[in-house]
Amino acid sequence: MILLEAKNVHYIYQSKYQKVHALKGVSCVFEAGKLYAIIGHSGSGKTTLLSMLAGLGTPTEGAVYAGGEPIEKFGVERHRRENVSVIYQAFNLFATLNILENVMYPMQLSGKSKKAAKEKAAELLNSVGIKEAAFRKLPAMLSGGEQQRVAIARALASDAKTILADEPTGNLDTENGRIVLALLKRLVREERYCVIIVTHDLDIAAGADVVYRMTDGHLTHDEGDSIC
Amino acid sequence: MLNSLKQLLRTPFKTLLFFLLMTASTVLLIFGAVMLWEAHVRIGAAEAEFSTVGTVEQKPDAVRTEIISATECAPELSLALHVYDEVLLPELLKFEGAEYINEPTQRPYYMTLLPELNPIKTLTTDGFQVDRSSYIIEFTPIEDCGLPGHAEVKVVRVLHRRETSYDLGVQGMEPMREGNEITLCYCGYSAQNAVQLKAGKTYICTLIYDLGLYTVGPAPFSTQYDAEDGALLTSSAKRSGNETVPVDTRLTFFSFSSFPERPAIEEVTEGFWAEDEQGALWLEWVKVHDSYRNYFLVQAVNGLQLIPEFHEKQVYISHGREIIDEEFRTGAAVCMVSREFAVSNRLTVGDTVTLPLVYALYGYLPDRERTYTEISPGYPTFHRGYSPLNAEGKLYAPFWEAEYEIVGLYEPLAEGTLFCGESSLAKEMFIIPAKSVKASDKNNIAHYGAMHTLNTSFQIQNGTIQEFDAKLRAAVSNAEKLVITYDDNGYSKVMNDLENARLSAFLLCAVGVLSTLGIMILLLYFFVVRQKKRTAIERSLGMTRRQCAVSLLAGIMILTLLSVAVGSICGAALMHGMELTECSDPAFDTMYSLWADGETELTAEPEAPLAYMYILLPLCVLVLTGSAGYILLHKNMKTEVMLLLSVKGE
Repeated sequence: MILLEAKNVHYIYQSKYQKVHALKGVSCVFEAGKLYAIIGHSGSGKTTLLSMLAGLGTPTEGAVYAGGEPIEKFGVERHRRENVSVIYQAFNLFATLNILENVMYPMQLSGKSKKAAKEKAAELLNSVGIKEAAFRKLPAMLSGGEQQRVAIARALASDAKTILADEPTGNLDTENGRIVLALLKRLVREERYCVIIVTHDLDIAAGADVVYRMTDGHLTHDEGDSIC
Repeated sequence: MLNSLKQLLRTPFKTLLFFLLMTASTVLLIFGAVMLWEAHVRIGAAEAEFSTVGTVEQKPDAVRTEIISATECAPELSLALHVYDEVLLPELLKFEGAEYINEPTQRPYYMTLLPELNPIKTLTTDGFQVDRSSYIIEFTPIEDCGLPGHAEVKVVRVLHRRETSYDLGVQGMEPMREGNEITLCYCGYSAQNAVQLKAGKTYICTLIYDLGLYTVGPAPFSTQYDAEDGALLTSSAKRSGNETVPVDTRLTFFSFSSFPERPAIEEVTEGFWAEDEQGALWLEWVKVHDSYRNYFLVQAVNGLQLIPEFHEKQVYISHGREIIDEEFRTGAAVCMVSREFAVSNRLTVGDTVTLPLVYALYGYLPDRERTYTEISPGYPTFHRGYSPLNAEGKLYAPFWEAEYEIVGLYEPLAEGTLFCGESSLAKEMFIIPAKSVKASDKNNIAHYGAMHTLNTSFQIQNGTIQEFDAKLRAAVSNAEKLVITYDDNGYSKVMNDLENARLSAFLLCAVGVLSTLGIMILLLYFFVVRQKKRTAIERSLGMTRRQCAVSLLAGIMILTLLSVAVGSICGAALMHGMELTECSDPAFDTMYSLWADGETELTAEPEAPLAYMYILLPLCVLVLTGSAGYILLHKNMKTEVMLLLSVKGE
């Protein structure tokens, strides 16, 4: 089942001094129950593509579809709330909220009651291996791996079936990287999540079901066949 | 919103610090702004309350000494009489560039005849009777004698009799009857007024009973002055020599002695009482004496501030109100009366009184009453310097009459400070707007004299004394003949103090504004600008821009609201505390003015604007913080979320 699709997406951003054509007609599909890896050099457009898929940017040309519907039509905010979750290399947890509150946050945005959100958050934190004793801690009090697991729990809290991960292990040691990756794989295998990982790490790419390579705004299969 | 507040409270030190800083700066802002406003209001009030008045006095051209020989009951007296070559008119001061609020005028005192009113029964502090018995009698000397001095005479006829109960009772005076033998005292007269009395002949004179002595008063005389040049129109009062204007009799004793050419004692000759003869003049003189106790002074002015005692706040309105500017401007038929006079005649605010203005006295000063009171109390005021008889020897007929409503009663601030020294006010006096007198007094001028501090004044703009005086000295050729005294009631000093206070308040307010802005900038920097990433996370979680704004700004707004509210309350309390402290001191330095406590205190109470200020200023801070915060947040949202979140950092 196709959860997310990019069709001929172009993205040009113009700064004060230059005009950059970051995405040059990228088309791709992302299905449930698959782990995708997007690899490429810095500046190749990987993060920009992730941004378009997350509805955090509007393509200059082309469109992103979720469930067969353009996300603009669906509503980009709603898209971000209901269709996709994003986890980052830098974790990006709310520094002033404890980890339980961090996980509760998207659920409260969706209108869940505080009690229900709290229960679900606790459950999700447990599922990513965070013990209850740490629930009241602020993110800064946790290790990088733990923070990233909290970020994954927060991503799961929104019920979105697509997880966009931008270098999720980039700030983690090998062990924690492995745990996080295992977690994401489990979500793909057991809960049929679609996980799209933007990474430099070829080991991660090697474990993916589909590998895309981003080169100068063009997206190709790792084998080198352009899919545009 | 709760999340917003929660996140704010998770940084308690920073939040508390900003709360305190914002509170302190709001206190400073409120305090400075209120001080500034109060200074502004007080300056406005001072401008309205203070008036700058100039008084004018003509310097005498010469001082002539007159010697009065010693007699049985009077030592030799040396009198200094002021002599003027010409009387300068106040119009002299109307020069180009003089921006008067009230042009210089020599205020006349009008005399009004009110038979239904009684003079104040006055006793001096030691019980000294000042209401004297007076007579006009025909008499015949017991034997020949020469005067000045004393003479034993027999009363032939009493034409005027006014005997006081004090003289009859306490003094033991015999009632004046035909056939009585009395001793005349013709003292205090100069040699030129010497009289030879012959036994068997009949004479006529005016008498005042003064401490057991029948003192001879003046013979009938008349004074009427030309309105144009101030020249005397009556030959009976003309002076010898080249003097065309009267001497200033302000400080003289028995000056009437040198005034009429006729002797004070006249022989009643055959045909004396025939029509158009001297007797007719004496009959008018009798009428004058019969009614003189019912003549009262009316002062016509263009503003109370022009009366020195009002300007110097030596008098205050004890009942009713003062005559307002509008009434002075339109010439409303309203008047103010001395409280003592009103009380003695059961007059009160709201009553009306018809004032027939009989004659005008220019240059006359009520302080001459003082001279009489001290030296010859109870003598008719017209016995010196002027006469109620016109050039034809007849009583003046009223030139103006109108019904005036009493709007206020005035009295001296401190008992005994008025009416007994040099003063432009008298105990028995009405004050009316000059413009309410619609008829000219040109044919009823009974006295004419030089401009004096107490009767000639003008009003100029506050704070222009030096400028005005320089212009005046340059423009008025006879300025050296005038003594011009300016009095701004301490306006310059008060304004200087107020301006200093305003400057201090302005600086305080500026510091308040700057510190508030500075703290607001810091607040927004820490809680908005540096929260870019938080906003980006929220956006990536699917929050709308509005939700992001509420999430970020709600806490800041609550923090600011609390800070400015506490700051405003503290500022108000501080101001209130200061006002309580100030209550023990007058609002302004009263070094130059004696103001009646509670009556004319110059404390502007800008309560209503202040109430707004205590609300409006914090509201401004709040709105400014919210607006700036929203603008900065909007700018934050323009940043590429993904780029921001992809970078590890704050």
